[in-house]
Amino acid sequence: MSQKDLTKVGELLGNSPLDEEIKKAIIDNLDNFSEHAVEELLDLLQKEDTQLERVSEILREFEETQNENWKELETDQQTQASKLVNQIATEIEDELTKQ
Amino acid sequence: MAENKFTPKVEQKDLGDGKSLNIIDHRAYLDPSDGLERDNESKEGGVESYDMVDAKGKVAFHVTDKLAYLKDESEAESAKVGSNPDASNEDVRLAQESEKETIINADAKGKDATDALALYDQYDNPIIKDQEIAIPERVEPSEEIKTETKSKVVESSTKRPTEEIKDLEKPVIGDVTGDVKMTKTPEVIKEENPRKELDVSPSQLVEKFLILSGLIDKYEDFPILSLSSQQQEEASYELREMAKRYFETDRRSREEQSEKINDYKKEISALHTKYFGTSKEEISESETISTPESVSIDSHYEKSIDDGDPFARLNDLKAELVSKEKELLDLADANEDSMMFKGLFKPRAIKKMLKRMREDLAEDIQRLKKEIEAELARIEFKKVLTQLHIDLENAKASLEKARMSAKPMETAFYENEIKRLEQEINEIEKLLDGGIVNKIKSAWESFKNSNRWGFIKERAKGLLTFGYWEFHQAEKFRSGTNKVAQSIDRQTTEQEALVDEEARQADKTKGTEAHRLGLYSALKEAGEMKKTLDIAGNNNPDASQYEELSQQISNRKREENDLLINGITERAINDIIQRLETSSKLQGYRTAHEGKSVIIPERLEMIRQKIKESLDGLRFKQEVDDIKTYKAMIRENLDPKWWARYIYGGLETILGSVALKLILTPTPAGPPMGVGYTTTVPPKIDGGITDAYLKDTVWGEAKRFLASHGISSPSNAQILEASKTISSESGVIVPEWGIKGAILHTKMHAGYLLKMGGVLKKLAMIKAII
Repeated sequence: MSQKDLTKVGELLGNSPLDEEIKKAIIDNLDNFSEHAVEELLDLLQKEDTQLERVSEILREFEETQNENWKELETDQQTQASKLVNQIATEIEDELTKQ
Repeated sequence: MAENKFTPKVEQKDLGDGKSLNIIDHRAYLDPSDGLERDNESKEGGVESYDMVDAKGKVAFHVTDKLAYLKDESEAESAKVGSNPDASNEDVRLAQESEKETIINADAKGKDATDALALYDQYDNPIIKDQEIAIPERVEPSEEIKTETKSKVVESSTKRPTEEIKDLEKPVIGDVTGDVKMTKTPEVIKEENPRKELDVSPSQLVEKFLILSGLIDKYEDFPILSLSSQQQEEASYELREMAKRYFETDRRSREEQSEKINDYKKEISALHTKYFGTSKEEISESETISTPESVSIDSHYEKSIDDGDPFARLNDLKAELVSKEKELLDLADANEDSMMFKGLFKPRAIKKMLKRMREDLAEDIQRLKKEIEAELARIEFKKVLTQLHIDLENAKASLEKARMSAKPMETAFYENEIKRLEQEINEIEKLLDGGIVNKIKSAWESFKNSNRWGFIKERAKGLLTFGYWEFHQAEKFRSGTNKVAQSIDRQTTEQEALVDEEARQADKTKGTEAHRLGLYSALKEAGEMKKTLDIAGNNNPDASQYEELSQQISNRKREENDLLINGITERAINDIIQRLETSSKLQGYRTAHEGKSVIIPERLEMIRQKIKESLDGLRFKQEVDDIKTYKAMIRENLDPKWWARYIYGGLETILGSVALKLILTPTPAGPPMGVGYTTTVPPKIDGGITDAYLKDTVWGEAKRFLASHGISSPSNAQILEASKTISSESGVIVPEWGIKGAILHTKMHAGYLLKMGGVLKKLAMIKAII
């Protein structure tokens, strides 16, 4: 493997959300890996990286959508409260007027 | 005069321990049933005049009762004496306008009788009438005191007025009648019965008001009782007038009140100088009122760190919180008729005072809770910072080693690691130095999300693996089994079918029960999520994990919305009240029920609940929509098997080739210490994992454990309970909690085995903790 690829494995592993304990275990035992295993590791870490980029975007988008939706909810709640004020006050007025 | 039936009324009060307090009411001579009768009664304004005559019609003495307005006609027998010495003309007017019951102390006993007697004598003492009266300093009996009997008091009428008053005061204060020896000094009685003392002393009532209003901090700041009785009355009057101005200016806004409070403090300082001769430092001009924003937590914390006690600030805050909560509790039962406030202010003013005091205390309590959370976060930050520095040193050493060995991959890894650690350390140090303690938690959130990986780590772990990742992942690998691979291939058809049926049934009720529909829809979503969850490696999820998912998605939003709902609800309640109070339709009703509220508090509370439930319902719908949106986005954009395919499957293959079990054995930072440490795989019970290896702190482990067991945002109280249980079971010594064991919590190493079984068993109880 090229020096560049080996460096890439180290970077990707450092950035991976894998448990720190597992990452350390991998690093500490790199001597035991065959070159093929390291290539596989690079491959899966790159795939993970691509997917995580996508997850990141999805989650950002989700948060944005969520923000918009909850703002709408606030407006709906205000409107609902106004309706209830009117409804309840009218009910009490009618009730007390009859007394 | 010896025949005037001047008989003090004696009442014995049991103090416990075989001791008793005899209360003498010298005003009992006003009681017509005492052998004398009133004659030639006249009443003008608030003053009554009459003769007290014996059975033969002989005038024993004449009474001009200038405090007659304080008597409650309906309770004439019990309301012998009013004890409101400083009642103003305004008070008289109010009394005459049927509000007098609020300024009458109908129970002229004990200390009230003492005060009332001395004060009444200033106005009109029939025995020593027309003589010059000098109020003597109160004489506190310090040795055995014998009481005055009826005859002695009568005889004392021949004494000089000052001597008479001394004589009259002694037995009441000294609390003994007849020849009984006094067994307790007033100081002892006061210590044993402090609340009673507070309840009846007008001077202390004023103090209480001042403390509650924040004008003084503690009784010692203005120890009225150390003054002579005359000075007490004068100081009491001046303080009370000030308190009146402070409380009765309800039209003044709270902000204006806060601005004025320093002026009031200056006034108190001046009074302190006047009565005690020295200026009060604590209430000096330079001191400003602390607001939540101006509280210098940083300096205090830094100081506490310097002093070697990082928990000092936290402990102070907790103590203050307890104190405020106690005050609020004490105030909960107070009302305009309570003894504590009676007779001091107009009832309407008292109501407003109580409301304001409760609001202030509630605000203080909320502020303190936030500060405690911030302080806990700060302590956690410090711990994290320490750990990061250790990691950094280790990473630097490993980098050096990798470079020396010319290993490019390790070199790149550790370079990256060092960069990350330095960045995190820098960010945390900036936060800690920045003095933004009150916002530290939100800053922490921002920090965590400030970089791409932080964002992904926090959310991806939570959302994609349902909080399962952090705790369970290593265990899966450690076990060396093939459960992960099995779970990847396992289908959840049965579950799918069940959920589909529930959703189909739910559709039948569509349009009739929005909430139920939401629940069924959520169930359907949950079924699909279960599949994702299984694929991600958790082959035995329970209901709490579904709940956790939805909580994680919407928790922050819900908290924000809670505040909004409360605000909207209270505004709506105010709108309703205002509308009813001004409605022209209800003009007739209001006239007919003048003085009464149009709407009773109980009904108001029902309305409040109704509005809240309605707004909560809307929110619930949004929470369900969140789940749907999230699921749809994941489904449309992501291969649901990616993690399992690329990480679990891939890693397992790779690691399997180099002895998986050996590789993933935990590697503690130092030599194992303490009881219970082991490198073997922890046992499991009931499908849950009972042990964990320490990563940072017991607190952190407890928090993570609760988060992975259905309590997504555990409160400090919940974490505390879990931490105590873990420490106790794992042999961890925590002196602050009184827990004994084998290893001090500050001496533990990463990798120390923590027993989580106890927390698992107590989970239901911990969930119930607020």
